[in-house]
Amino acid sequence: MTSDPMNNPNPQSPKQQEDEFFSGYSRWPKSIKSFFFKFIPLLFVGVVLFGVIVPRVHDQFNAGKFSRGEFQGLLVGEPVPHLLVPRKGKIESGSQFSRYLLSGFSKSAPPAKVTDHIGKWVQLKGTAVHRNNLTVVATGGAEPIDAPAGAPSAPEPGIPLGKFSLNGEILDGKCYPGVMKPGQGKTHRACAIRCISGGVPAVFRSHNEQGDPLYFLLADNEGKAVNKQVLDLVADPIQIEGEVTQYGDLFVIKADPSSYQRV
Amino acid sequence: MNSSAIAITTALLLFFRIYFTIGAIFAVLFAVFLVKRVDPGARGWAIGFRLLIMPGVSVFWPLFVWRLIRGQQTPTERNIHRLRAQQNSV
Amino acid sequence: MSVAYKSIQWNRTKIIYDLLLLAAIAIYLFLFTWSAQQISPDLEMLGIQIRAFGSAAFILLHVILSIGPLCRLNRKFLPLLYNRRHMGVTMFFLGLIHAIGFNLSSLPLLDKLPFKIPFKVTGALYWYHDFGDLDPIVSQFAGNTHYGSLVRFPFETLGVIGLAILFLMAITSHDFWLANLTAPIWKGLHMMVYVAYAALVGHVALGAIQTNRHPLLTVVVGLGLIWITVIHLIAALKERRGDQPIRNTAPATDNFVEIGSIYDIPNTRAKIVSVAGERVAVFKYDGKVSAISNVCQHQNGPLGEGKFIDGCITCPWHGYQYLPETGASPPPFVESVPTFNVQVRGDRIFVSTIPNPPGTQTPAAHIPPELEGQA
Repeated sequence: MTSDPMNNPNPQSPKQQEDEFFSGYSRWPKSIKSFFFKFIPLLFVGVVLFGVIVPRVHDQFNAGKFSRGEFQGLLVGEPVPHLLVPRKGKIESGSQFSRYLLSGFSKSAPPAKVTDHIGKWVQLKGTAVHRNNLTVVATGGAEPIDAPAGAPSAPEPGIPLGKFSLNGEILDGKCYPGVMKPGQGKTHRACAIRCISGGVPAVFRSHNEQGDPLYFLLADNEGKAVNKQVLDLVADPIQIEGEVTQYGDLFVIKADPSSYQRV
Repeated sequence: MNSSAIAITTALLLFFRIYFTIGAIFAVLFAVFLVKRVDPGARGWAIGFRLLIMPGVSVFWPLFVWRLIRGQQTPTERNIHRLRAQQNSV
Repeated sequence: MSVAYKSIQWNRTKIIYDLLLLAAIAIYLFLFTWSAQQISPDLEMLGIQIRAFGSAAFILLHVILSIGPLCRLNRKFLPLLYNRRHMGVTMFFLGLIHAIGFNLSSLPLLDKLPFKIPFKVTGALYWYHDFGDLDPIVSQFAGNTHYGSLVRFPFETLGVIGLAILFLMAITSHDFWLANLTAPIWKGLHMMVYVAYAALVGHVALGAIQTNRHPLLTVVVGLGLIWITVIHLIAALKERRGDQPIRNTAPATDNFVEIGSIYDIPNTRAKIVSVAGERVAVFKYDGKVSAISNVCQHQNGPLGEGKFIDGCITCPWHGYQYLPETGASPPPFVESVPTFNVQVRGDRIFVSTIPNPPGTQTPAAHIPPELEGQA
């Protein structure tokens, strides 16, 4: 004998349930209709809850900003092309320059129209992208100019800070401070690889004891850019042991890329 | 990132592009002229239906080329009841 | 159905279904963007849209995968199943927009308009891979090849696998494909949705969750996985119980097997029994008993869970109909299923163990008039 309650063997049973059947092309049975009048609003409550809550549990938004502008400064080529812009006004802390990394407009190095003038004072137009104290200017060309009156004649020499072992992550210097969210970690890995492969400066992001981010430009033992050698380690947690040199507010860590350790 | 991965990916992409290009050309011809030979359900000129099957035909085009060559039409599924019914009716 | 194909056989149910579906998605996408903007007013929205569409597709996939087991557990959910393919195709498009974006202005014909339609969504492929020194698609597959490591695993590839399966399902969603691939092969192809689901859970777990620090995201995705697994297990257990072989019956004689009493079956409904290696639907209607193969030719739906309506056995899934004494759909339809000879001895029903070819005229067994009043 079957135990299925639908197959009621006793015709005398009180109030036999109406045998309703749904087919899409005919009228909906009453019981199914009333069920859906309750179920569909429930689904929509779910839609609203998900829509409001899901973006809030993505905790990777950054406050990266960008702004178009004109910049005048001394163009330096190593370890990666960057611009030393004389600071205006009273200079309290050590450096006379702000240091802006340079890139092209896409995931690329600054073009030859810029790098041809390395070592000279230039004026360039571009988009400055910044996050915390890391700034990159995306630019398409530079015009040589005379050194502005009163500008420091030469950059201050680097201050060797000694050997450090740092934990952190290799990022691209452009999309990390820019529009990307999170701009770091595995989800951003593909973009960072393309950027660094294309010539955007590779930046090492570590942190101090308080957890504030610290940025280091990567250089090999000769002080040259390491872009092509580090592609496979981008966005992975790694440890770098190397000589840190401070140029104003910019830090450079020199180490052989083959000595970087994944942690 | 390594060069062999790039080479393999590029080769695979080329293969898929060729496969889908042939498929897309065949799909247009099939949807306009040939579908009636394969499926008797494709009567009339329901344009929406013909557009809807094109992406699928671009992928499964070898199946329809085969059916057109063999002169086959829409097959009937084979399940155990149908097979046993066939055996017993012979 | 084998009347002339149309793009979609619209009816009121499908139109309401689709409108509700699109409304739900529009509300979700709007709220997602709005809620993200509340975090910071000057947030750049392009990357947010990638997540809005990706999460919408992933949530919708959970809904779609819930429908099958829910219908097994409670037949009131069947209207959700009725137009599920539209939900599936919609989900594929959400995933596709997540991957490659969408620009209304670049669509054929729309690009000829004198004004530009501003609706544009950036996809992950261009957002992360374009503007570099390599073709974005090549970069997608060659940028990260650490398939041996779980932590470094290229989660994007899992997304591509999921999307490729959803693509195959979407392009074969029309009934033309059911007819031309046959229902068992079509179903096999569409069962790959579970491979897609596994790949997409991996895509989310090794991508968004691995980078994300908020525990709630992990909890929600985990709960989703548990929900899908548990309702499938419960539905499968229920199915298995229904498939128990017939007990307490006389042994098969002259190729007939006793399947139970006429009192077991409510009028216009069926009892499902396993005969000749597959389920058979034994229907009672108009004082008669007929048996046909339980497997609907359209999508292999369970005919025995259907109902005898307007002289036809009607499938509960999409309403395909078969005449009980021939197993054939009434003209102009051409579907047909095997039938079984039936005898009624006393109140007992006997079904032949040898199926008749689809469309064979098979007389129904009459219930003795003296029993009919009680049945």
